[in-house]
Amino acid sequence: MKRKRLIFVTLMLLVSMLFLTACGQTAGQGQGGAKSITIGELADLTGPTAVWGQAQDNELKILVDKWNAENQVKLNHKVYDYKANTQEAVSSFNKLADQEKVAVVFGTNNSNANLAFGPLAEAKKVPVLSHAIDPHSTTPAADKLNQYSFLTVASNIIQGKTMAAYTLDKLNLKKVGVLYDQGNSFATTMEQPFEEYFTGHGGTITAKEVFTSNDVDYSSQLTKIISTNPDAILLPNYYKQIALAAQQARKLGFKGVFLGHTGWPSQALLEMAGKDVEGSYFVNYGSFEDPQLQNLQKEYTDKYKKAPEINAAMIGESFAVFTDAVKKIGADKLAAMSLEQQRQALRDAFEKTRNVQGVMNNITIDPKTHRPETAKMAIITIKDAKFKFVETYQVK
Amino acid sequence: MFWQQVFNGLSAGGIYALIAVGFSLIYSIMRYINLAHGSLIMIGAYIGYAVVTATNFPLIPALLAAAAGTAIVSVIVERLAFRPIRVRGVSTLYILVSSMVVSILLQNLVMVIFGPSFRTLPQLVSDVPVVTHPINIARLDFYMMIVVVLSLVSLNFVLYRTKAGRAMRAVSFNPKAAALMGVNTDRVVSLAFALAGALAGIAGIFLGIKYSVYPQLGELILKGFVASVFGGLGSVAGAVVGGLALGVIEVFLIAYGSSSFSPVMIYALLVLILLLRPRGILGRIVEDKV
Repeated sequence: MKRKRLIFVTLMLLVSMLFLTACGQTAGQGQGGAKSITIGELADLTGPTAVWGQAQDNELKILVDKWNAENQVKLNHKVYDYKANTQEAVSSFNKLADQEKVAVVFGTNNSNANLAFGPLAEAKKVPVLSHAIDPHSTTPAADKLNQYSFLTVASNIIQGKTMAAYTLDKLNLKKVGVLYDQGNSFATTMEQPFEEYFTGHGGTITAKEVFTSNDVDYSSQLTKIISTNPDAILLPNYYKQIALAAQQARKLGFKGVFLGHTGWPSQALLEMAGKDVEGSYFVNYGSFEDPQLQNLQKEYTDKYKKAPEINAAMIGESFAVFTDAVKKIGADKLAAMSLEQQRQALRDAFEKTRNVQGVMNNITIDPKTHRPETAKMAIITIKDAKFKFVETYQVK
Repeated sequence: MFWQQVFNGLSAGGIYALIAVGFSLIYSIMRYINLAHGSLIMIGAYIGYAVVTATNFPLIPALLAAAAGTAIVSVIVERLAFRPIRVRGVSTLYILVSSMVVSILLQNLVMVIFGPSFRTLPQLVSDVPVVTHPINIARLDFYMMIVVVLSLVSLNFVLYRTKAGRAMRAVSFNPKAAALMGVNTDRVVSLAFALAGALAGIAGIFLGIKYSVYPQLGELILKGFVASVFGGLGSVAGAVVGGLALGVIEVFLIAYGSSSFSPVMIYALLVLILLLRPRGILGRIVEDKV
């Protein structure tokens, strides 16, 4: 008896699910009609990086609402939570491409996720606008370009160069030691361009030491680095590793400056190693202390009653690239196209992005690499155990 | 730089030794490996964190609290997860599996109570180094080495100078014969787990101060386990020697070799030692009793 009831319940559930999905589809088409473009978004709404994903999604909602209020052709926004998980990102991407039939996918901020679904975007010919950091997400190998993937913010290469230039020109430090996680492309893809630029413009890398992701004690590497007497130590790592390295370096008597990148801005870093990282400098995409971001911050705070994360500004860059492409193609014309044509037209237009004013940067996408080759970045320091915006800086 | 690196090695090795001794103590008496030892260390760190944030205790009372708390947890784990299997007299393989399960369980329990994020212990030890010349000795490392030495000396005292210690050693040689001589085996086992737990609590607090407190902190025991095998599984003195040796070798591979190859080298070395001298540096030959 019990088994029969179980089968019955399962069947009912299946039937109702089918019914609901069917309803969903007709509703979507009805609402969209001929005058709409469906856009997809992958956001880490839950999981360890949920604060970033929520900020991204919240801001994209603001931008889509604004567009829909001002334009005849409406945007139909579909969002999937990929939970900061690579497998989940792949299956969510497939759902957006095949079931939701989106013309473009926004996201993610997670390089590994983008590396995972990059080949699918190629196969299904779906353009992706991401704000991940790893240059491999658009150019997986030196001579290979992902035709349908685009980065709209500074890649790790620009971050490395910017920090190197700033260290030489503004901080006037010529000798730098490096300590990084050799198993994390987040670290290695920043370290290489830093080193190339730094040594190419008169700086010296006094020591270069590595560790593996699960290590927690870097005393030996740091002793080696400190014995070469550097002015600064570059730590392009995750915040926990940065905190431990800074604490251990200070215990070993290091008095110099620490340098870093976008792994730094985290409240946890200040809590763990506040006074050890005092006086450090790092690059970030932008800063909400920058007057240029005041508008975004106000709109966001008014609507959601909390401060945005920098990811809100990053999705703003992607949206600027998207709207520029739509306007160039013509919104009416785009909405009238078949799905395949829409995807192709958007991809071709993204590739031609020139001098588009984004939230933080004037964006030009290099057709050879599908990412900006230069960008203005925010320089942040740590003062009185707080992050403090110094200035925006662009490497020449 | 040479002496600084020696000190770095001893300081890392001291922690490995503390972990390895806990392993070896249980192994020498029970002849099984308690994989939950790492999670006990993590529990020690969290007990220390909870006690210090709630009461503002200084280092010594915090250490005692963590040692006592972890000892209790360790005894409970033995009672609930290991003793029923041992009493039934089935293969120790089941105990190994059980300890693995306990380890995961404790980790998830802590995750539920405290959440997955990192926590920082309030500053218990001043930042001012003990000496800065010719080498830099951080106060924390200095205290840690003193506490490690004190714990190991008192463990030795318990094992060789007390009646309970003699009972433990008797059980370690032959549990059945010891029981026939009137030794209460269950109580001896509980005592061994209490001692191992206390050492785990002490190690936990130091690991927590040095590397912050998080649910996966216990994963560091891998090195401690390696150290105990290196020194000779089942020998407490061997565990100390193994721990210190592993710490120093590791540091020197990085300092005078290359930091990218040192993780490979250290394990290659271990395999080599196991091939040439399977019983480790100070271990005795262990035969399974049939």
